[in-house]
Amino acid sequence: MNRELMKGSTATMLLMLLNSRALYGYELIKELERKSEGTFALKEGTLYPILHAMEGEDWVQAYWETVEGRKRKYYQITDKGKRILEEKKREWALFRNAVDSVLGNGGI
Amino acid sequence: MSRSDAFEEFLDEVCAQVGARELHGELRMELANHLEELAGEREAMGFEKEEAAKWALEQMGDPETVGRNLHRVHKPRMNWKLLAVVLLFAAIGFSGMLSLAAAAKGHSGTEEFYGRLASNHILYLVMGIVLMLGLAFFDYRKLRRYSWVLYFVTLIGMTAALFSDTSVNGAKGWIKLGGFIFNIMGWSPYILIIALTGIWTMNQNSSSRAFRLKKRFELPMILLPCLFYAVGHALTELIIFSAVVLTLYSWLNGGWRRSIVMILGASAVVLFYAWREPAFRIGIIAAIDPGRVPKHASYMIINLRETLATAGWRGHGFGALRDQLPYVYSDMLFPYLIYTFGYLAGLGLAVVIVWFIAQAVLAWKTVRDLYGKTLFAGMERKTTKVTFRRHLFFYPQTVRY
Repeated sequence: MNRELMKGSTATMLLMLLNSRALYGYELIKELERKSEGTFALKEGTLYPILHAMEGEDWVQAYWETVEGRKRKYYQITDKGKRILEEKKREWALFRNAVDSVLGNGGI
Repeated sequence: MSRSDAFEEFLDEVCAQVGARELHGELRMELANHLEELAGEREAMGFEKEEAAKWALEQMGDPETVGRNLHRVHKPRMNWKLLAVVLLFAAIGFSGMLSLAAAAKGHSGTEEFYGRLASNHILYLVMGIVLMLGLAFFDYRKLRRYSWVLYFVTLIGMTAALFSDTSVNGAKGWIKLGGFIFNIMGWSPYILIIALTGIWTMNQNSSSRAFRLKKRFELPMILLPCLFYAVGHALTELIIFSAVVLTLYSWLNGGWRRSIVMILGASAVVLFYAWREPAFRIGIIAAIDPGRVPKHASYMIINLRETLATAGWRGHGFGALRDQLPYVYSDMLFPYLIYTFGYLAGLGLAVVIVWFIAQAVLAWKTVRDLYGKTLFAGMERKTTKVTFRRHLFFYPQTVRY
């Protein structure tokens, strides 16, 4: 596994976003910001290495498309990426439950 | 500084950090688009062009950091596992050569020849490692440009070999060039595979005339070398070339399902053709039932069976002699190793071979470039074939006897 992809849950969130439709880098940052209500502001310097690493692991596939005169590189989730996403979601649910238990159910 | 100049400078600084040069083009395009989107967003908010560009660059952060992070992802990675197995193979071969040298000690006639094998082995190993390092630093994609030249030069070489009267051990297909003798026919399948792979995966405008012309001649370009092999009675080369090329071609054009159908079809045709060659037919029968063929044809198989039957679990030990087995130092090395080191060692080696093939398949899956992927697949099938031919299959050896 690529070291870049081990870092935290960024890759999982990107996969989640790509699960509904193919997006290009700029769009991904905007979507993440919107969906997390401004909590996650991903930097470009972090985004592209992760995207490229995911492409290398065959979690996503890239293709070029020209829209409104702009050449954009779109990323699309693969079957392998979908499997990884399901796995990561399960892991996350487990983790969240454990944290919830420690903090006390409904304590917050 | 104009906006595009500022962007170019940023991209230059990013790319300066990324070692994989062949990626620079795409990387620039992707990041340039990102900058444009950012600046466009700002402009839509009513900012001046220049201010928007400045803001966009600020968003991207330090170009050196961006570049360094990207470099980490795209660093060329050495496949250590594959390298380790290759070295292990070399070591096993070397131990076989040492054992042969020990066995031949004191036997006049064979002592000198067998004694030289070990040092030759080291020499070839060093040459192989040098070649490997050379290839590792060479961007194989540059080779693609010369695919057409490679294809036609090989065909010319094959023509020359067919009409040349140079022969080695009675076999044709060799040409003499400046003091060296080249086995053109033997090498041609691999060179042609490399050339055709390059021609098929060339980036071309699909509406151009050259592209349409290329498409029309795709099949004739496969059939032409086959014709050469048929005329030159080069059965082994015909099998290697047609099987690999047809598989790759159908895989490129229709996925793996079609390539499986193609492999099965090609195997049937080749088997039918081969069955009509008496030497080949007798070789296969001999491998199944040695009693049914003339003595001279079954000699190798019977000999081989005896060698394996008397090996035992622990073998005859280092320096064992097996005079009856010809070519112990090449074709018959695997049986000799079993004879010397026993079934357990043979089983171990078989496991390593299977593991090697599995590793190679895994490595293939990580190659993303289509030319590289196709080349790799072609060479992998070749290596797999040679391994099987050399060590696990009996019939090619028997063909000659």
